[in-house]
Amino acid sequence: MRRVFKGALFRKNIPLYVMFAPVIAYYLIFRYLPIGGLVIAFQNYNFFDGILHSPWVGWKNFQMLFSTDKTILIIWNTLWLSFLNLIVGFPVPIILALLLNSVKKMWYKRMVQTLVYLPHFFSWVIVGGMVVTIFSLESGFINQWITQHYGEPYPFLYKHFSWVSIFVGAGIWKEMGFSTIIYLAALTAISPALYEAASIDGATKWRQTWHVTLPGIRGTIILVLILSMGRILEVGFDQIYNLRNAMVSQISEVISTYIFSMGIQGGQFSLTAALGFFESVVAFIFILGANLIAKKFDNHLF
Amino acid sequence: MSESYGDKISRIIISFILFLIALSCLAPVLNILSISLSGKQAVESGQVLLWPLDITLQSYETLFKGTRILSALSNGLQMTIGGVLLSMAFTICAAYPLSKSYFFGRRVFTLLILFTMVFSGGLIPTYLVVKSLGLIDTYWAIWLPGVISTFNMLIMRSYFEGISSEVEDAARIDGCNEWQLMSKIILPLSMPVIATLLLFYGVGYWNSFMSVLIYINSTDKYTITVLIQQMIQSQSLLTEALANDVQAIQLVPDGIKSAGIIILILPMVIVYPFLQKYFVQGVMLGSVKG
Amino acid sequence: MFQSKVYNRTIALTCAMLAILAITTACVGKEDQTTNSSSAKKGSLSATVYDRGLIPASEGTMEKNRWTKWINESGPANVTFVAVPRTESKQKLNTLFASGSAPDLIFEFEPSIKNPLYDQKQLMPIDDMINNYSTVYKKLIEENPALKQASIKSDGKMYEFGKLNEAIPQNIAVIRQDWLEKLNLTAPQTTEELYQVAKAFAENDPDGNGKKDTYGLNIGAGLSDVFGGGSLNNSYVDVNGELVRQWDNHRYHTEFVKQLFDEGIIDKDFITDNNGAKARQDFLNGKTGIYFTQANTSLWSRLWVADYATLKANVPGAELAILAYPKSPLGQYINWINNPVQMTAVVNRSAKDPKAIMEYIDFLSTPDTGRTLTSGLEGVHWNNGAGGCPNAIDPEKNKTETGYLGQDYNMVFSVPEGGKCFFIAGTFNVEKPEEKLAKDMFKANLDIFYDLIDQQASWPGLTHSEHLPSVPQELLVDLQNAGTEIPNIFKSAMVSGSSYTVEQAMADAQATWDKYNGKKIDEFYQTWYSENKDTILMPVDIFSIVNDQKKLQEDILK
Repeated sequence: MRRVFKGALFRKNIPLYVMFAPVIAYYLIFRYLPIGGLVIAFQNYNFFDGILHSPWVGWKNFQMLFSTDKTILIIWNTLWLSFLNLIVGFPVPIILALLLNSVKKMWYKRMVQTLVYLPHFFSWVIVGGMVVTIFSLESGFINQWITQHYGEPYPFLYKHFSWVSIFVGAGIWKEMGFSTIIYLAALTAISPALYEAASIDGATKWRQTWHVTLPGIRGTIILVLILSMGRILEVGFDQIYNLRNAMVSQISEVISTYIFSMGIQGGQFSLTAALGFFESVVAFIFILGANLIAKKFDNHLF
Repeated sequence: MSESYGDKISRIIISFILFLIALSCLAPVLNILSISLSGKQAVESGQVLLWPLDITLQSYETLFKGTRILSALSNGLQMTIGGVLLSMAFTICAAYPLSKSYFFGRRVFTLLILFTMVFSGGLIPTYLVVKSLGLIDTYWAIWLPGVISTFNMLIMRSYFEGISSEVEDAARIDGCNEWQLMSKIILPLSMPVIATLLLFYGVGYWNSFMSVLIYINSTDKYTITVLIQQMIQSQSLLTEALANDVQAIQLVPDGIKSAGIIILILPMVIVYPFLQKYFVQGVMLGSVKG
Repeated sequence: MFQSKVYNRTIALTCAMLAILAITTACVGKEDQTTNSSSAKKGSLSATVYDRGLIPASEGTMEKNRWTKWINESGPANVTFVAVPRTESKQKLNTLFASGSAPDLIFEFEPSIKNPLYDQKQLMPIDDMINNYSTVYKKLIEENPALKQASIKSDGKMYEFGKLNEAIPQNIAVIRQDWLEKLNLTAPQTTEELYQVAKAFAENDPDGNGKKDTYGLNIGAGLSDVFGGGSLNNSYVDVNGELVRQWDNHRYHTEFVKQLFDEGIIDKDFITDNNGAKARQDFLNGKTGIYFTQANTSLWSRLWVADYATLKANVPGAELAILAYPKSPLGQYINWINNPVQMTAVVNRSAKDPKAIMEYIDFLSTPDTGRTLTSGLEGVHWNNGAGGCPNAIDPEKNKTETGYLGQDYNMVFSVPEGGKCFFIAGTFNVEKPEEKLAKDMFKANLDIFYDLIDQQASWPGLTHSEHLPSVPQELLVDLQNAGTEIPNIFKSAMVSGSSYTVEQAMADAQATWDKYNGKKIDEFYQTWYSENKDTILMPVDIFSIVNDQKKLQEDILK
């Protein structure tokens, strides 16, 4: 502590603090102040009494939520789908970035890059409709081809395994072009000298990728991985709503759709807040955990 | 440097894979574009696939004459540009100090900021804060609550940390103070991450839907995303809602919706290639010798 | 370094832009609203209006356009409008109420949005303002007690303003007459015959193209009503004053659809057809023999004018006829009728000027206002035609100037009060052949409809679902869960062939109902029914309203 007030270090920090001051103000006012509103999860919130005066019920909302099997089921579904998304979906933007990076013709690279990031802008209402059209039992392209060659169509959208694959796949397809941007930017920071040195040493393109490129963006990869942990319980409502059907209802009910259906009948603010609170706690634990692991690679966030 | 045979094959395979992927992304765009240019009957019968039938500009005409799309476009641009500038300024002011190892309280600040990434008060508490500051119905209500995306900020911080300390030492020897260091050296070297964040924030603000609907009361301030999204979502109104609400039945025809989507993504198609210029390798080259 | 000048300038420019932006936005934020220069005697209020994004730029916004101006000039009060996005009205209203900034008068259709507001004590009872300040609306509820009844909440006070609607069928079934003739069949009158006809449509190549590519029917709006109703919390039957839960309606419906699915008579993708889009496309392409769809108000025109034209363009010989709902194993059911007594507005408890609100509601309930806010001004947008009803002067101009009106400004206008010109039947321009056809079909439909009522057809359910109460807090989540899971069970049975039979599904459905406190829910409805039987709007009341309007309808349709 005494070291801080020693001249040079202190003086060095002043301009940094001047710069950081508005940031502190921002986080205090617009992030921490509203967090106070989380008390809703412990109240029986209603508009009339407002946040300050609604009756306090302690853990009752959480008890209500977790006493039903349904809640456990949807949390499990959420974790499961999210986990799949992570395992399968995490490497895809990285690979795509590497593929794009290796393209020499600038115009081709730019064109593919631009096309590939467009699906990010389509709402799931549109993408869902397209996916259903492609995989439909009777009228989908794929099943029409299958019927011609094999006789019986396959109910892609009704069987759990294929539905989940399509669900995860569609999500990856929609976002990969956009997620790849971070890695493309990170790739530019790798010095070409390293590539030259490696190729002089006789490394093929693959070995160069393994020994130069990947380590070069390792920091970014780990950073994105840790931050993705913060989204471990987020499975987007729109994605589920537009892809689900009666046959897969068991596995496709997730936290976001549950909150939505609770909200349909009435203002279940406190229950929703309790569920959200739970989501946040779990996500935070995951982030801390991931960070601890990342420490081993010396790439921790804090 | 001549390519080996193996490298050549890899290159062709890679180009082909990218071609397939790009095609899969192009197909939906073609579909929507075609619908926006096709005649009503063909569209309603679901006959339009990858090219237009009964070509007509009717959908675009109705869109421009029958809705507030021009004003929505202008609003969208204003809101996005303002937001991006604010966000970039704040994010740099956060990422830069956090990237310096001698910044006092660095670990604590990072942890506190990470905390806000997962914990949030929710819609109503945030709304109450924004309201008490008198920002409702202004674009500040869209800009300020989310002005720093913690995710983006950490990406930038990581990039700053990656800038070699030798560059910094050399500058300090030359007599630079902290401000000059940041503006004249670090930022110019960070063009890739700046371009990335410009894009991320730009897209984020452009796509704002819920926050505009909630915080903006005057419909003349609505952005184009709100306008088009409302059209798209009206088709998935719960069927019961349709029964009650006689007019919801006046669903926006697919042609007009598609025309709206094309207008909506057009700026994105224009801006990105422009920013790609900055994803240039070897920016750091030449700045450090020996 | 050579770059430093450029970057210095860039940074200075950025700061300058930020500053300018800050100043401009602050100025815009402080811009005063143009003050309304009306007499000091008029009260003021704020009211919501739906924004659907469909207003032309030249007209302004939903908060400020020629009609809001007209309302403020000709009406009894100064009204400031607050736009509420139609597709997200719940979120918007919730945040407005939570922050204490909600408008005085809320126009909203959904009970699921208004009921929680009542539960949260955000609404002002309207008994006093009606008694003290109202003339038109007061008379309306005296003559139509159903309006009053439907607006009373659990504490015995009135809370909602509403309107009377035309009581007409909401859903319809149309059949390809040309296919019937080609295959020498007659229109089905029982569900068994429905199955036979649908099967013939699917298998006997009625479109004559040599391919087995046709569907017997679509699984669309109203099909479950044929079998007695598809809504879970409406599946009750009054047996000597006791509410008995029905499962057979679901069973017969599921069996029917399952058989059609297994035999390839229907589109196997119907459960992923989220809003009937694919079914409509199939119908328009001439692939479907019997089409179940929603067809009230503007959807009627859409079906008989636009869609029929599209169908004929794709399949020149197509002929459509209306199909009366066939008789099911449980008896003859009638089409779902749209809510004849619909509640549409509530008052914020913190409203400052109830007198102004009541006078405004009275203003909106008068036929003249109703006419203006639907079709525009006489002499400017319409003139009285031969039948005594308005005809548009310049349709193109009207499209711009009145097209966005819809019903959003006069959601409390009672159509039957306005007389025949407000009825759908009166809006067809018989000069145009396609509209004449629509009108003739409308008459044919009503004839079938009145006939069914005379035959004592049953309502598919206990009563109109908008008149059912919402269950208490502790049962809400259970009902919601049951309401999503049980229909999914039925749908699974429909498409799973032999691996999931209807018996299994029915057993699972009942088990699920029990799991989610079904008994308690049933008890709740039983208690409510016993206590309120005489005042709730029941099917017999709905039918009597239909008969009240019958004379007027027949008059117009002559």
